[in-house]
Amino acid sequence: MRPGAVAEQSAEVADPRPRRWRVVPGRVRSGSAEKICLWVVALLTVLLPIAARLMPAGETEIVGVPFTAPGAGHLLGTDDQGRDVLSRVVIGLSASWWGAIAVIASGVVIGAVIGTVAGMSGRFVDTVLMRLTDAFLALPGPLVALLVVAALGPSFRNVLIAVIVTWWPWYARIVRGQVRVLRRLPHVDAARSAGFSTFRVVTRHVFPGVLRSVVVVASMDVGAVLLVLAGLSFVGLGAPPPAAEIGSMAAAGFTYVFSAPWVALAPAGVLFAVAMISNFAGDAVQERMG
Amino acid sequence: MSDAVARIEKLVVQFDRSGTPFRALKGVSLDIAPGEIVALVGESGSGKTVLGNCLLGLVPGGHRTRITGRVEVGGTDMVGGPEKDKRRVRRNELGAVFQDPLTSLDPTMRVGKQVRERGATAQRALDALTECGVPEPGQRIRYWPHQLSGGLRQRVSIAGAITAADPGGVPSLIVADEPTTALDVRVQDQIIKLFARLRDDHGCSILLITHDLGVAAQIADRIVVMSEGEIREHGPTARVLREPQHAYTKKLLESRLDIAGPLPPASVVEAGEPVLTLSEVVKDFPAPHKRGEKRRVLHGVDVRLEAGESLVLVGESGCGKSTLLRIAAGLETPTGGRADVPPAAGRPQLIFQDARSSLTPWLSINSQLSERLAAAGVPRKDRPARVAELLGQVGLDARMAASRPRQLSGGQCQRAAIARALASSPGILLCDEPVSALDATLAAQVVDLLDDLRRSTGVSLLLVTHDLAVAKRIATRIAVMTDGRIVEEGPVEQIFASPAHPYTKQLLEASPSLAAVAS
Repeated sequence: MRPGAVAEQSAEVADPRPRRWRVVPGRVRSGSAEKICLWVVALLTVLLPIAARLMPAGETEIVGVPFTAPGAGHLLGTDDQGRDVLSRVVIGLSASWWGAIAVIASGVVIGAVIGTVAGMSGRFVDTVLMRLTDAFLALPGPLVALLVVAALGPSFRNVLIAVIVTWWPWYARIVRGQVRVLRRLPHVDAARSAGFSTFRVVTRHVFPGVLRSVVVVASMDVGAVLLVLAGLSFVGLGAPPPAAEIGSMAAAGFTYVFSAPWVALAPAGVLFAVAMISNFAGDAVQERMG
Repeated sequence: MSDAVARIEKLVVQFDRSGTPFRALKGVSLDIAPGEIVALVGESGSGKTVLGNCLLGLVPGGHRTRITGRVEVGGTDMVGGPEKDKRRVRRNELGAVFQDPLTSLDPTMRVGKQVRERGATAQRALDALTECGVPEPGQRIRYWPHQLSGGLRQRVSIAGAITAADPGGVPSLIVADEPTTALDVRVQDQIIKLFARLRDDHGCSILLITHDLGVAAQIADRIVVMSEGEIREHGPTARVLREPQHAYTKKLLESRLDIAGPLPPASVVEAGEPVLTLSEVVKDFPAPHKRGEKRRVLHGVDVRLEAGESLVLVGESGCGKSTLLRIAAGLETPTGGRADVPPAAGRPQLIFQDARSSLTPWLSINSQLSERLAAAGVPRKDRPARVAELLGQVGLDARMAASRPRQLSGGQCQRAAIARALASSPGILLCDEPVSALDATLAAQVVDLLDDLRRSTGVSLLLVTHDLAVAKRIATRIAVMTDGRIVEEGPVEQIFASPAHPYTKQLLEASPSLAAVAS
């Protein structure tokens, strides 16, 4: 096989998902805008938890008259209970952001282990693992979320578990496909003929070749997971009411969207912006590594 | 020479390589007369393919490429002219044959349609296929490209190249870019003879682009030697081969491995311990597309490799030689028979044809070597010195330890791969076509390196190649393989002086050599 073949293959199998799952369709040329987004994403990850602590008001703290319009006292106004919208948006976003990263990290780890084992194994183990993966892929995401929340009770952690359950199979399929290509390459034969253990061959001579495309796909997924989490919270599957969550805040605010539009639009707008930025950042990663 | 079929004048092609300009051609001028076969010879990166593509009007590299100078075919400007004129010339005046017929033929188009694509009639296509030596053309026109062997595919693509649009018309110039490089020796010989016959029958000119002076010597009227985007030397074939003027041509001629070349100095091999014994090895693979059926690639092969000797397995593609090597390396298990390596001989190490992809791309040369040394029990503090020593042994600078494979050239990669194999201190090096992907000058160096290593360290070599010239340079013993069997085996002198098997004789006759022309 030609040396470039894996790279081409990776572009094909990099993301088997339908395009509509992503906010930004198609491949965007990486320009300075994407690079800036990459920095913004890095900053968000570090600064959001700090910012959440520094907010003027607590998550459930009532600070003033309900429906105070945005202004000097409360930059984004107050909601129907008189809580500071800005504080709640930042606190909620921080939780969702780290939630999304946790989902992706767990998905990558589970998917990498199962995909690598399947890819390196013989036909039987491969078939069993991949049909299992397919079974998970066939689960309808929102229903799984309902089920998990019904079984374990409504909480943010349980929503994360629900999303991980439906998210890891994508990574498993990508990893398995790449491993099957990589394991046939001469450098793997060379490592095997040196008498290295299978574990060493896999961890040093096969898996690092998969990492690149997994990182690319994972970076593209942050925005998508963020939206899924917000969506589940929007329909009531999330942390129960007083907790600040982007989705539930937007849902609650929609009752007053004409009288006090900021209550709904602030979380929705921030979510839109952050999802957009992380998608651009994902494109930047893809351009550089993919 | 106003009657030239094609004329190139002061052609400069400058690519943009991520911002840095790179000149692939630096002012090349060349005329091709009617009915002339011109061989354009050069190593990879010399710009010979770019020149061929310019003749076809296929400007490489997109809009950032800058071209000055003129390229005319039949009086039409092929680089600056309107696309419509270029298309007309391509359809009527030009034919193109590329290196890999599997990728240059359209996989979704049947053979007949492929040949007729430029507008020829069905009868004309049939005639062209017959002329190009495709057996049973009436049936073959309904085949898909993947159903044909490499040689037949190349014949089909030549048939396509000689059927111009007008009935009975043959293009005035065929540009053939490495048309035989991917083919076996005997098929290469047939294809070259086919080119010569096409010229004799139709009077078309041929620009034969090749890296192999031997191929050029067989049919070219004129040889043009290129390197680094410049023409170094050109002249009648016999003159260039006999009295090369330019130092680069001399270097090419000297480094070329030729079957007429001298035998290596005899090395004393004490008939000693066998380090590898393959007995009655049989290997079946599942037949493609046929569930449950088996295809036998090795029919009971016996090989006995003794300490310090160099056994070369010669055979064409598909004869099972690589499979045999993989069984010896323990990467495949034989269906029947035994492969024995005495524990004292150490694990056999493989050297691959594609050296770059045989090195793990994300690890530095240093870590790939150290890893082997660690497995061989070398203590950590001794490893850096040993890595430097190994790199020195294969003729690489110790500073290259920090490089990754993609930063090295093809020849350096093969040297690094050999160093890596030596790090495991093997008793046997198994080499699978170790030099067939390298340029002629590098190939000779790597073959000599392997030979030196065998003589200095006593490692045994089992080398697989399709090239008898490589075998002659390095072997103490040669085994000729075809169809999964060893048909002839003997000391190198005997195989070359008095080949016994008809297949060996065919191989020897078909191998391109400069001897006939140069002497």
